[in-house]
This record gives sequence, C-alpha cells and structure tokens, in this order.
Amino acid sequence: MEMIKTVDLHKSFGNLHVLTGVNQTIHKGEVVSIIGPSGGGKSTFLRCLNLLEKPEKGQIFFDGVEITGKKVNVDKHRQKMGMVFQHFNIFPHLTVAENVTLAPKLLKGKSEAEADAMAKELLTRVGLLGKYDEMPNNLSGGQKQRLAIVRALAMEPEVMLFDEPTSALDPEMVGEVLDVIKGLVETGMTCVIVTHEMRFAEEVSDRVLFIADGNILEDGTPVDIFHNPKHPRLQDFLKKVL
Amino acid sequence: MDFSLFIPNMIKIWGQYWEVFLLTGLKNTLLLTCISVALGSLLGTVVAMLKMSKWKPVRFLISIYIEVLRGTPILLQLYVFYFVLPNVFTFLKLSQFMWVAIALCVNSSAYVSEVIRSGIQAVDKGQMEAARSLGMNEGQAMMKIILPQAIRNILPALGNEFIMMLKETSLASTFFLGDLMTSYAIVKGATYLTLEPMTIVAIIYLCVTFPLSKVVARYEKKMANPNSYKKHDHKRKIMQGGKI
Amino acid sequence: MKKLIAIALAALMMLGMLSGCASSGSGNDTALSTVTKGKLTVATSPDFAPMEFVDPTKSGQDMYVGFDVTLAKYIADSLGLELVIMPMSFDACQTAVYAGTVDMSISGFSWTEERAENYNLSNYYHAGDNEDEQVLITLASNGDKFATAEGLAGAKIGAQNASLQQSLAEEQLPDNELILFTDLGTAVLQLKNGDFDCIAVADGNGDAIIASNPEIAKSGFKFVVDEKYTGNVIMLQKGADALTEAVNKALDESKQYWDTWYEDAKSISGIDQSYDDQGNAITG
Repeated sequence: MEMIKTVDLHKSFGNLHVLTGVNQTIHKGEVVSIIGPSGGGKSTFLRCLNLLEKPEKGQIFFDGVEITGKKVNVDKHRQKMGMVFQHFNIFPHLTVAENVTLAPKLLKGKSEAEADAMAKELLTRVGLLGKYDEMPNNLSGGQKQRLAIVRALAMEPEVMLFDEPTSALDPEMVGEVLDVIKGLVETGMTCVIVTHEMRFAEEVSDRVLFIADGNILEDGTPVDIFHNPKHPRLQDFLKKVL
Repeated sequence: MDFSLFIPNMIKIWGQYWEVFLLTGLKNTLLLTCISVALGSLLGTVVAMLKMSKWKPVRFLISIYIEVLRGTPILLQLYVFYFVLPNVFTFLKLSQFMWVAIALCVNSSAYVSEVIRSGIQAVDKGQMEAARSLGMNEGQAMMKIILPQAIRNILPALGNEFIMMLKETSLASTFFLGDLMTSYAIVKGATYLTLEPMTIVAIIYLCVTFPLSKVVARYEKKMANPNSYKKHDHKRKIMQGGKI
Repeated sequence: MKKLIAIALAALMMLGMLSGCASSGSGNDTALSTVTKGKLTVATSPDFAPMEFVDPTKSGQDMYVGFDVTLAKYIADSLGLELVIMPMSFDACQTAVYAGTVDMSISGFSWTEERAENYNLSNYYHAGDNEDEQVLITLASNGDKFATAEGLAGAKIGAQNASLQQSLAEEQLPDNELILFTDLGTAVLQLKNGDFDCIAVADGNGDAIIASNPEIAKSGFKFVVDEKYTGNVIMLQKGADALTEAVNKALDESKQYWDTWYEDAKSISGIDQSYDDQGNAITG
C-alpha cells in the first residue's frame, strides 16, 4: 500500500535548483534510507515530504490525499508524520514529560492522565523515565535525540522522518540513538531516514535511495546499493565514505 | 553663584509643595507610564505580528508606521495627537490626558514591536519547525513554543522601555498634565526658583529609575544563563500526584 | 483582517498629517460659536506669576489663578459661557489657537507684527504696573552699580526672546551686549551664575523673582516705556471676527477692575510677602 508518493518534485533556493523533478513512492511498513553527498538535496527531499519546504512544482500524496493541493489542512497530515531533526529541537522551556505530552493534549484532545501514561510508557522504552521531571538542558545530546523521537511518537504517527538524526552527536552517543531507531523499525513503523551512517543504513533498510545533484540517481536494496553500485556517482561516493 | 540658600530653599519648597511633587507629579508620571507601556505593549505585539506577516503590502505599511514613529521627535507626535487628532476624531470624547497617553502608547508600540520582533526572531528557527512538524498550526506554535521562549528576551527590554517611557512622560509637561516635570514647572512658575525644584524632581525620578534598572539588569543576567529554565511548580505538583 | 488593521493604522497617520494643514484658516464664522458648545476654552501657560500661575493648594480648574485667568473668567461670564482653562507651554498656546483646539489664548502676549498677520489680536489690556514699569534686576551684591545708563556700560543684559523687554533693551541700551533666553526661571539661574549682569523684566515679574530669590534685587534702572508697549493682547484664530469683537467689548467693560485684579493676583502669589535673610516668610 502506497503511503507517500511524490510526482515530479521541484524545489529551488534562489538560483539553486535543489530538486529537479523527484518521483518516488514509499510503501507502508517500508524502511527507506537516503544517502548522498552534502548539498545533493536529500534533506530538502525529506523536508518536502511533510511540507516544511514547499515545492514549487510537483505533487505529494500522503495516504492517497494530495497534500500539495489547495485547501488541504497540512497540519492535520503533519500530525501523522513524525519528524526528528539533526539538532533535536527540543522545547527548552518544557520539562521532558511536557515535551512529550504537549502535542497529544493540544492536538488530539488527550486527557492529562492519558497523555501522561503514554509519555511514561514511551520514555521507559528509550530509557528516559528517570528524567521524566527534568528540564531538557540537563540532558546529553543522545538523551535529547531519544526524547525527540519519543516526542514524535507520542502523536502516534504513521510514518517517521529522520533528518540526519546522529550527525550532531558525539561519537559515543550515536549508538544509543541508532538502537532506538532500530527498535522502532522492529515494530513495523514506516521510516524514511536521511543518514551518513552507511553500516546502519545497510542493516535496517528495506531500500536505499542515493540522491545527488537534485535527484534520485539510484534506488535499490541495500545489497544492490552498497555491494553492486551501478551509477558512477554512487561508486565514487561510496569510495569516499567507506 | 551663591549656594548658601540652596538647601534652605529646597527644604522650604519641599515643605510647601511636597504634595505637588509626590501626590500629583509622581502619581501622574507613574500612571501615564503604566498606561503607555501596557497599551503600547499590546499594540506593539500586534504591530510585531503584522511586521512578520506574509503579506508584503502589510509589512510595507507597518514599516512606514514604525519608521515615522521612530524617525520623528516624540514632542512633534505629541502635538499631532494633542492638536490634530481630536479635530479629526471629533466623535471621540477623550480627555487631554488620554490623548497624550495615546500618543505615548502609539510611540511606545513602535519601539516595543521591534523588541518583540527581535525577541521572537532570536528563538531558534528549529523550534518553529519542530512545533509545526508535530502538527501545530502557526498560532499554536507561536503561543505554546515561541512566545514562552521569546518572553525571556523581551521582558528585560520591556523593563528598559518602561524606564525610557518614565522619562519620556516629562514631555507631557508641555500640556501641564500634572506629571513630575509639570510640578517642576508649576513650582518654578510660582517661586521663580529653578535649581531647587529641579533637584527635587531629579531625585524623585532617580528614586524610581535606579531600583528599576537594577532589577532589570539582574533579571537580564539571570535570563542570559541557558540553564535558567525552571519547572512550572504548579504543573510539577500535578505530575507528582500522577506518579503515586 | 490583519491587512485591514494595518491599512487603518496607516490611514490614521496620513489623516493626521493632512488635517494639520486643512484645519487651519477656517475660523469661527457664525456668531460666537466656540470649540465646545456653551464653553469658552482658553489656553494659557501658567508659569508666569502673577499673570498666570498655579495655586497648588487648589485642584482642578480652580488651581489656575492670576490676572489673565481672572480676565478670562470675566470674558466668559460676559459672553454667557463656561470657562475652561487648558494649560500648556507658551509655544503650545499659539499652536492651540492656530489648530482651533481652543477659542483663544490669554497668556501675557505682547503685540507683534508677525502675530497680527497670523492671528486675530484683541485690543490692548494692561495689568497694573506689570507692563507700565520695565526694570532691570541684578544680584543684590551689585548695589546700585547698574542704576544708571553710565554704570551699565559694558554690562551684559538678558531679555526674553521676542519680548517687549528685548525691544526696550535694543532701543535704550544699544551699546550693551544683549543675550536672549526663552525661559525666565532659567534666566534667573543664569543671572546667579553670572552669564549676564542684569535681566530686563516687567516690574511685577521682578517682584515675584525677588520674593523667592533674596540675593536678587532691582538695579535701580528703569526703562522709559512708550504707550505702544504697555498692553498685552488676547490671541484668537484668524477670521474669528465676531468673537474678537465680543472680547474687545468685554475688555472695555472690565477696565475698571484691572488694578484690583492685579493686586489680588500679586497677593495670592505671595509677592507682597516680606522675607528675612534666610528666605523665610515673615508673617503678620
């Protein structure tokens, strides 16, 4: 079943043509990793999927609804698409628990008790229950990113978008975050992950996209992409990063 | 110049006119300042929102509004509000005091709007993105995520605006509105003593502004510390209750 | 909605600018129509004892006292109107008349050509000795050094800008350096500081100054005051001829009271009180 489909997606920043007509379909339950050189358009593609960037041209379908159309309530659709950012973007003025419960209470009308119970369950899953009542400034980078994942999950999304979730972390904290994502993948969650962690991508993905020069240059299974690359740009890229 | 009479004159003037300085002058100065800053902050928030509007013509008009108010002397604005606007808006039966208060409030809104706008823009862009990605609309994100953080940058600047405005209200003495500078003009006019009532008024101004600026400076220093976000005590109790 | 608010705000600003020009010129052409119906609104700058000043023991409209205020009351009564005093700075008084915020200003204005061009001016009125006698005040320590024109040679004279005193000093002390100021109270301070040796003032103002500043005294020099200088005028909007005529009639009728009013004003302001060398009022 198609979950997200993009048709001829174009995006420019000034004179820079970042996406040059991307066509892609992501199915329910699929785990898709996006790799590629910096500035190639992979983050922009991801950010277009929940319309944090507005494409100039092209269509995006989510659950069969064209969310690029006029008169579409984007906010409603975003509630079903969780997003995790490179720089965590934790709300510093709220406690760890409030970071998790704010959106469900505000947007889904959950009661204090319901939201709280869910927050506790989710925080337990990522090993942060002990931080329940603390302010986020007391957390390490890895803890913040785990909290960010929980915050997104609390909205019970249908798909999770990860924008380089480990790039801003100290090396020793990368593992704990990847473990959480792996656990999430095991639950059958649909995930789209922009990442520089090639081993991780190979391990968890059903499919890997190689994006460079504003489009998907190669699309295949992890084995195809990492062990049998066809496009010269991909061969070149892998030579540099592996 | 002979200063031997300075202190006796000051004591004499204080004894004779202290009610004019404190009960009339200080009261009206504080009243005028509070009205101007309070209404100016409300209006300033609206202006700041409009300045960040998606509509280019709106942004353009608001820029003119801000530039006119910041680029012309406040005394001139006071004249316009005092002499011109009551003739234009004849249906508004406002007192002279209110017209001057409105002039100061409008002037304040131009400065406050910039304070609020820069306070909001100083909040990391990622905060808005995170809020929107959770599905909040722009208003919800503004109210729940951006403003609570921006307020930390805004409050000290508003404190400074209050101090500025406290001094700006002295211009109300142009129309003898009973503020501190008016009380100076009254006493000067009645006694032809200048330095003595001026010194008294200066001391009263300082008695208000000095502690205020100390408080603002302390708060500013506290807010500069990124670890200064504190738990909301009332909410914490609820949550601890939930744990049991 | 947002856009509407913005447009309204901008329009308001522009309107303000435009009407600044538009509202001039047009006077009160129907007989005795006033700014506020049934009321006579008068601008005055109450920092000029004994002509107009504030009695701090009173409040509201009652605090404004002095010769000009009494005169304003008389005019309002004779026109069957209720007097409303609007206090403001001397400069603002002229703007208020020009903009039509008030019906007139009574604030010790002297007649000048420029004023006559832009405003309707009433006939002269004069208050006691305030304009009849024009004197120099100086530091008491100078004794009678500046009592004569000869003694004044080389002395620096202060006078209020655009005032009668300026004209008198230019005319009768042409060789002295003349320094102009805008505010009499500040000028007193300058005199104490030695910025100038003497200030040219109306006798009544001189008395008021000396009452609070015992280190200041009259120098003994008196200007010769020509008839043309002795009066003050009331300032009205250009073209308000009916009101001006009515004011002139009231001035004529009130002549007999002027001296009494002036003495009353002086006694309220405490000018007639005596002071000991500590500056304390001697009572009884």
